[in-house]
Amino acid sequence: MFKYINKRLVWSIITLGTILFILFLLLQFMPGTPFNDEKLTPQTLAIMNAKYGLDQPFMTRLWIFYSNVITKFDFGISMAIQKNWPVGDLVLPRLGISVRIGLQALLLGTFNGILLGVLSASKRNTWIDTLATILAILGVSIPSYVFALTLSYFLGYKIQIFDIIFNYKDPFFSSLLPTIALSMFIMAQTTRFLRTELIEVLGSDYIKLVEAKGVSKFKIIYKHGLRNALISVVTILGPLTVNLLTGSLVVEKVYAVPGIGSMLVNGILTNDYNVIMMIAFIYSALYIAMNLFVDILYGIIDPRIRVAKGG
Amino acid sequence: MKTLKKFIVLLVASLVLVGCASKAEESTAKVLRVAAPGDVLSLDSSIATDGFSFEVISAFQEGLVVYAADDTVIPAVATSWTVSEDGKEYVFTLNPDAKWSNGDAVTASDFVFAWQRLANPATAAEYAIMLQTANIANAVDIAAGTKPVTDLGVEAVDATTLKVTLGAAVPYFLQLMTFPSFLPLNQAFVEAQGASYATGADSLLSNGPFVLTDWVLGSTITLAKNAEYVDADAVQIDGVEYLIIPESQTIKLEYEQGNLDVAAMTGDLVEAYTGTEDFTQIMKGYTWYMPVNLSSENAALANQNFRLALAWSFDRSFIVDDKLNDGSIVANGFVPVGLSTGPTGNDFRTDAPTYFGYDTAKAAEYWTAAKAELGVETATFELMVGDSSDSGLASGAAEYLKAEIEKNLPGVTVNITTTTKKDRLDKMKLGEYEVGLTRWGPDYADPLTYLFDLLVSGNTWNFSKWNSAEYDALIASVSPGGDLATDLNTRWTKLIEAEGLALSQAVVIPIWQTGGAMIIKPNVSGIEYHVIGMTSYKNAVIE
Repeated sequence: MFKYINKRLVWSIITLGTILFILFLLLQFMPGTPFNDEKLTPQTLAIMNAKYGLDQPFMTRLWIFYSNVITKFDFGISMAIQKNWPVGDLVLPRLGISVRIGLQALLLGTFNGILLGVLSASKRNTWIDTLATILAILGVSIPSYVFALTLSYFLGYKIQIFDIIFNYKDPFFSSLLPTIALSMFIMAQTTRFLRTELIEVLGSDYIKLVEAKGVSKFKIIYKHGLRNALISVVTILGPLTVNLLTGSLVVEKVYAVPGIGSMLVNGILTNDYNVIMMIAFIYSALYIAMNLFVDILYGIIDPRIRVAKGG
Repeated sequence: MKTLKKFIVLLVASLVLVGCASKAEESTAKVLRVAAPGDVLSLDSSIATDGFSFEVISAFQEGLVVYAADDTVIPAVATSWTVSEDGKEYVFTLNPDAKWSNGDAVTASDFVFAWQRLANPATAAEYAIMLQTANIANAVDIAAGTKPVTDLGVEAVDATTLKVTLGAAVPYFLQLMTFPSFLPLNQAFVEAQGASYATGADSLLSNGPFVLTDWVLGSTITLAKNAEYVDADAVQIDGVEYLIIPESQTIKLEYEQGNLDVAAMTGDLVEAYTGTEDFTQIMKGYTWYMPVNLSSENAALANQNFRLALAWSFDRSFIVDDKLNDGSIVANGFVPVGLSTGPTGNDFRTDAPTYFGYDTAKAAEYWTAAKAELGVETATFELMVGDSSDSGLASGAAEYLKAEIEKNLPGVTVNITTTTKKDRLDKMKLGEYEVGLTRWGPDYADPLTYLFDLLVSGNTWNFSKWNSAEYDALIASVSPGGDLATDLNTRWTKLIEAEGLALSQAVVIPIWQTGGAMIIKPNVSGIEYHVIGMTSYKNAVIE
């Protein structure tokens, strides 16, 4: 098992390095510059390119970038979004907020999703099942912009229970609406996958055997059915989690959350290369880590999938 | 099983509790809450270039002079000044009581340091160019690297006397001194902060009405009244809090709920407030216009009657009221309303005539004349506009322009091409376009910011590639160093004449002047908006 994990870790680092290289290369071809003022004179532009090292040849810049990242975990300074700020100081506080809201949404969404999935599978073809399915379909199909605005209109403005915008002084309470908005999709996905899987599992021979033994319905679902059905949920949760942790552009915009999603878009729009590189690094690292984690989790949930088998 | 049950109970209980938790109680402090669509890009006055950053910086820093509510220049850190006979030397006397928020006095050397820092190529300040605009002696050579920054024409005679030497007399020099790039900086403090200067409330000093107390990136910028401010008694509010909210619907909800006092409105939301007590229209100094490329191979564009036909063929008020609906107004000339006040005390647009309008008969007449002169029955040209990243509004206006021009000038075909802002500007600078749709933002409160930059032959931003010796001579005489530069009355008439010359040939076709629709709570007053210059909250009152 450890040998396997070690091997995976080494590959993860190589993958990460390669992703950064490809991105660095692609950014060369991105149109525009970070210095977009329409009144910039060629003289000032040259001074600015020199200051931010953009006048250096590609290989020199690549070398400086890699050596700074590897030795100091330093991604340089921002050229447009917050001029001259170390990129780390810009990205990390925002990452914290995105991770916080993402985790909250993940908890809420999977919890509700599992609950609904189990209910609809066990009460199959009843009104509960229909209701859960409708909720799941709505959760996937309503555009998050509409859903987020509807939530803030009714819960924030009409009933005035929740804060409409994120407030750093009260991060938990003011992050509830974005959490609910974000969790909707997770809930819907979990419900759909769990329901399908659970229905299949509940129809299998071993469940029939357990039923024949007279075990209570709750115990059958919780102890035998759910555990087997969760594999499918874990598979989809991996990538979904990364999406959640890295922030949602729409939800961040509607609730004025200073998260990382809007920062990436902003970075791309303004050609703030160092900001793009650091956020891309985080995205990739999270993605790779999550895949690894999910693979390990499979083994824990289902002993039949032994990742270390033969390794 | 038990753990699961416990977990459910806990989760439900926590949600219920949270739902019941009372919201933060209303504070009694008079803090003005202002919505901002995005964060500042820099709070370093040498580095900042965008309007919002400048607005915030101007709230906590004060320069030599500021704009009063009526756009006249009034003393700030400088209590008085003298100008030499030839207009090339200004001596400012500074207020000895002016203080930084750490207790240090604001001295003449703070200005010298700030301006030299701005000029220094090592700072790589985009707006170092302002030193050249102001004609500060040696600014051009310093930018070219041929002279050291210490040669810049600014000198601290003593702690409260600042002497500025210009390369040529600049009639609008005092107006330029309101620009945030010229704000003073406390040398000892800035140097002690090093690279972290202006990266947070602790790494900034204030000498203005407010002091930065908190700055949460992408979320809030909090300013409190500055007790050390020399005119602190005049400041009636306890502070300003900017809430960064990118979504306009959310801004509306927050405003309606009473969590915001001031917000800019866009698009559809404007209608909801038109006619209400909260609605305030403000003007900005941007003119949107169509530059016509006279150097293009398209013969029609070189024909004056054809250009005049275009200028008269569409309804500017329709664009303003139906396409934009954001407080913008019809541009009756090239120089915008509210930009500059002449020696008469009148706005430029009051003294200057009105140009163009919507007159399809007149347009058709010009078109007939053009057809005869050109010997053609049809004409086609390309209208280049920015894409949504540039300005979504402009492309909406372009569709209307195309429809109107094609309807009112039968035989004319307009092909719209859409591109990015950078590409559009590059092509316009190089003259690789036919007709554009673009805007210009003024750098200083003088008609020259339009009439010099955009129309004098050979200038980078002379998108029309107009080449008129008569016009150039007219502008040279009223520019810094020109023989009429200090004869303000004649200068003013000549400026009006110059604009008339350009517009009589329709080398540029002005369309609209950008406006802004603000919503402001009725209990708030005294906020000063300027066409050019920063919004000031110093005299704001909350009742």
